[in-house]
Amino acid sequence: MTNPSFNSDDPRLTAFVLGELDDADRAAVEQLLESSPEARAFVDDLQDTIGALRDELSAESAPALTNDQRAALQQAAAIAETAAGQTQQGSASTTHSRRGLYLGTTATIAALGIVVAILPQFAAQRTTNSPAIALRISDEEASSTSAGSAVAMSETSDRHDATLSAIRDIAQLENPRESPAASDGADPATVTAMKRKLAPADEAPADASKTLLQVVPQVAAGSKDFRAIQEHPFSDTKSDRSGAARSDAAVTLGSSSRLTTAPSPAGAAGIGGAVSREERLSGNVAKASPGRPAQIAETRSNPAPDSHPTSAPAVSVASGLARNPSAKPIAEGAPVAMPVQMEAARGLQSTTPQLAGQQRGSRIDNLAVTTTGESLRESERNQAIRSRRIVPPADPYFLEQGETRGGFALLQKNAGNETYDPIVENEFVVPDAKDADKRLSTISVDVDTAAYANVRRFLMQDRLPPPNAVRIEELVNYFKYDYPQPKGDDPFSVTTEVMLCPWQPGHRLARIGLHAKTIDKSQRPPANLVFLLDVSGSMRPANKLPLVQQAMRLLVEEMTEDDQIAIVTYASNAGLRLVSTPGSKKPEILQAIDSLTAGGSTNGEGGIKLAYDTAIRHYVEEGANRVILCTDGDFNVGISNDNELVELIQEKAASGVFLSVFGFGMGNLKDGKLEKLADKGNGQYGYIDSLQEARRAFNDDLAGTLYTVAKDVKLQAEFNPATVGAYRLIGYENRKLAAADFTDDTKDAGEIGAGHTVTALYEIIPRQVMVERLKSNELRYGGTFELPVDGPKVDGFSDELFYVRLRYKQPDEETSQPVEADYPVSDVAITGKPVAAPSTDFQFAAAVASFGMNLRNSQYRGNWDLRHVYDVAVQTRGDDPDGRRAEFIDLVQRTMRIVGQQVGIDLQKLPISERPAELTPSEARIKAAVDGKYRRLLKKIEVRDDLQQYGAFNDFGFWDKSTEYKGHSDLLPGYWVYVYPHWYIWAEAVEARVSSPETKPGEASGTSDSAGKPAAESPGKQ
Amino acid sequence: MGTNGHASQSEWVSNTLQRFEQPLVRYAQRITGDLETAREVVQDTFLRLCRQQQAAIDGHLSQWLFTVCRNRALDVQQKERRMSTTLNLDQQTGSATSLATAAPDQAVETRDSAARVLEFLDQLPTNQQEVIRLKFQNDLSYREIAEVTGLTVSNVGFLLHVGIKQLKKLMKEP
Repeated sequence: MTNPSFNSDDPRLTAFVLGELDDADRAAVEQLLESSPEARAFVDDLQDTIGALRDELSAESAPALTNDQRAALQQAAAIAETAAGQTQQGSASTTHSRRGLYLGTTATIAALGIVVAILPQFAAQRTTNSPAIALRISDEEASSTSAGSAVAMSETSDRHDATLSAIRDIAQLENPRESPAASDGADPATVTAMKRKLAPADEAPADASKTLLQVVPQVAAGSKDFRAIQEHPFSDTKSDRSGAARSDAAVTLGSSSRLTTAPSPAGAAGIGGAVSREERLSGNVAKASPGRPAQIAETRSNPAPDSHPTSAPAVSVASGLARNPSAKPIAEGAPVAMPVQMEAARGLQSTTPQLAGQQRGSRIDNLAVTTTGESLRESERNQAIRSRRIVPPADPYFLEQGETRGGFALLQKNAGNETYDPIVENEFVVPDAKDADKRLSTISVDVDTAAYANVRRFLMQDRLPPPNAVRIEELVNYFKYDYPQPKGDDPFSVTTEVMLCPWQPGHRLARIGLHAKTIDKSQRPPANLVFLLDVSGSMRPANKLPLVQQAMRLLVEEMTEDDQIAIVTYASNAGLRLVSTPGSKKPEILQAIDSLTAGGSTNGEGGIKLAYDTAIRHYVEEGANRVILCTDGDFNVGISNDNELVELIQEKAASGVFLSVFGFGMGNLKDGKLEKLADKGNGQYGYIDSLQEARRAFNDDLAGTLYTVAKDVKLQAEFNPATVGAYRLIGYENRKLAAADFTDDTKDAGEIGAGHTVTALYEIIPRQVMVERLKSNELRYGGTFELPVDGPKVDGFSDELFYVRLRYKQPDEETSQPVEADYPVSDVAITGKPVAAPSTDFQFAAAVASFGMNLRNSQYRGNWDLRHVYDVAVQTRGDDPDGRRAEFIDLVQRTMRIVGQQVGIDLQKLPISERPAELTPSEARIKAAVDGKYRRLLKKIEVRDDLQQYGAFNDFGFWDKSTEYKGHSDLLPGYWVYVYPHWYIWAEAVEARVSSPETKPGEASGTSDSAGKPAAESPGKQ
Repeated sequence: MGTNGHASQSEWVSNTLQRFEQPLVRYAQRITGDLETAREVVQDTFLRLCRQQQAAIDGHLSQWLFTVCRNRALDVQQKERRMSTTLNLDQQTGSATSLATAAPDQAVETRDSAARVLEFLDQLPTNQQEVIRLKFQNDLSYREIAEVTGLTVSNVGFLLHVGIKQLKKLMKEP
């Protein structure tokens, strides 16, 4: 054995101390310790650290359960013991259950778990009698026997939630062997519904209604208990329900596909299926005004060929419909995705202060309501109608921007007072041999990552981020990728890689990765930092100024005597709180930090000027001169005009002082403005939502943040028209440059700090694939692409997909240097070479990009949804030293949960289905005619997305509600049949075989009752 | 069924309760960030234990308990708005100071106290914190930690090493 060398990164060293090594490894480490004093010292230190950890951690307080909880557990154990000997005994079970129910509230939770788990018969019996599992809590018990109040809750609380989860888990997951009947009897959808009902534990009353209204597509078809609920028509109960707060749950039924539940702890609103979606869409559900409930009932079935709550599209709007006038009009999104629900949506439009003034419990005719609504919300309604599109029914997925797609489209709530610059996604571009602009894709390289932290903040609050908050390149760049260090004096290394596009068959995905040279913290140049802190009143919350202070303390600890720090605050007046002080005077700096308090309004302008002046006065040649702005972005005194502010920054940036912008807090965040400031000020923008993130941004990345290795870095990819049919840049929407800007040194671009990595992704349609598609008439938007079959010949480069060029300036120079490096990228598949397994980093980056596209509801997200993202992220997590990837995986899971709750489906349990094979055009047409049921084809449109909603085949029926659908226009009324990936619109149907949805709403509901599969009752189906 | 040479079910549960109650509450509290929720999670964990056959769990009892407890806590955490791992400082509950993230003021006060290592621990990525706690607070083996957290054994070893190394470094700094 050769002498092993000491490597402090070897995890075996820790494992050695902890006695976790096998003999061979232990021997190896012992040998190392023998030979290396350095290793011995290291391991000694490890031992000390571990000793301290053990001491401190074991001394940490460990609270116990409450006495009640402990007593309940003892009871439960006793019951379990007894019951274990008496399983299969229905009567005995009941006895036990009763016993369980009298244990008092806390004990009841305990008992309920037991009851459902070990007494399946009882559970099943209960669920049959009263639709959902009878979940009773102490005093509710006596009154909860009627079907309408199957789930009786006088309040929502953590405890109920826990109880319910216990039941759900028991029924669904935990011990299928021990409780088969329980899991059979408890329809997951029902249980989910119950769970949801109980969920909004700590919502404020005004918010509560948001989560109360839920749509639950029937997951398991044909569940008896589910039907039982449905058979209890809402109209039976609504007459005696004045909308006042009641503890029982209003169980509203649309059609067989949907259950709407509305518990009303604060007089919340119970609204028919689609409407509740509107509510969630707008995110502005009824500000509860318990004093003035109103009820609207829409009694007429909408004669539409769909499965909407046609049997009982009752709209019960309980209290609090007084809508905030500034609130987003609910109807805006409504008709877009759900034209069938126009009536209902109009009805809801009337939920204006005037309407709320109606007598409580009064019923209002739909038409009248509409009129009221019109007068009040004319423009919004018009807008709604303009954007109205045909969308087949039962679409539980709703989008904010009037887009509809199948699959698990995400719905975003209002972002409150936060503003985001709109992002218009890049489109596919066809590279043209004759037009250089079309061959060239030029971007300003940027390492901002703020969007990721901001997206995470939304998700952690169980909200989906608004699409414009999702800047995909910032998501992708949040993660570290293993790119090689640059060689020699090069400031960067460039890595390229191509793989088969995971979300779009036939396409390729390419990545270009830059890695800036890393410099050791000890070698970093001296820093001259000026903190510019927003201390206005809006910064007072704990996640703003206090977090800034905490983050600064971390930074101060890293400072050396060569560094200087100053603090400028701005509120009503800007002020210098700490004159530039060397890092050796840490106590003074810390004291200045501690003394900061928030108050007053914001004068960003004065502060910015003062901060730059301070930085310039203490300018360090060869050093990192930087203003670090920490704010929630709410400039409201002085220059508030974005452009003036940007100009000011731009002017100041010429001084050689860089600007870093850190966004803090929530609710007031002006994301677009901050990003712009950082860009113009030659700096980065980061969003900080936690101490961990602060540490990452202020400390771990300090060297990089402070030491810029290159500025105005521009990247240009030239696509080869001979091999590339079309390409699309993913993300970077507001960092694109014109091709001519590449060599224009006056055009500002991004900065790269030491150790930073930047990744850009392109989706590419190989030319051959494009040509094939043209031949098979498969182009998405009907022949707007003109691609000559005889492509351009580019001699000598027939293998290359694209070529990468870079330009940048040295940090202290004003002219840029091109990097004439060779980065041609050839397409592995097209050149006939085997497709190499893509690197895990690349796959992970692709998963992150797809996550972003899913959050944005991008039309380019292809056939990947969150489940694919999750699977791939899990597989490609790697070592993940900083935990970012694990956190990402958690975020994806969380997103699935949020979306799952919105659509009532547990996405994580839903298997990923592969796309069906496409039929040949003639076969497809025969199938679309449904055995001769339909004649005379009017139109065939391609809508791939509808696979997830309608399955490979769906005989949808007659549709005449719109001339537009998912980007297709000029559609005529007709009979719609979906044969993946096309809709066929037929002019005629053979009389005898047509079912009229207008007269048989119940039947119609069967045609598309749940996402992803054609209905069993659909006439003429296969 | 409760008595195949084992203690009776209720004895078994109460012995287990005795031994694991506090460590589990402490563990759950790290995840949920809230004592009351943590207690309910732990209660729920033990409720499930009641339904288990002793024989099926013997030998990996602590692993089983921590796994169930963790899953429940993560589950509940989704609904709770109080999250220690993300430091949602907007939600300052009464128990917030017991979280991974002490309030800013306290962070200063405890700077020089013996608890510095815990303060540093709070600065590590959550996944490192978790394996460190499972290892040194609850004395689970690498393999057990891997089972509880769903990580691989080598990843557990890696995270522990990286975390301890970082702590070592932080403690050495002046």
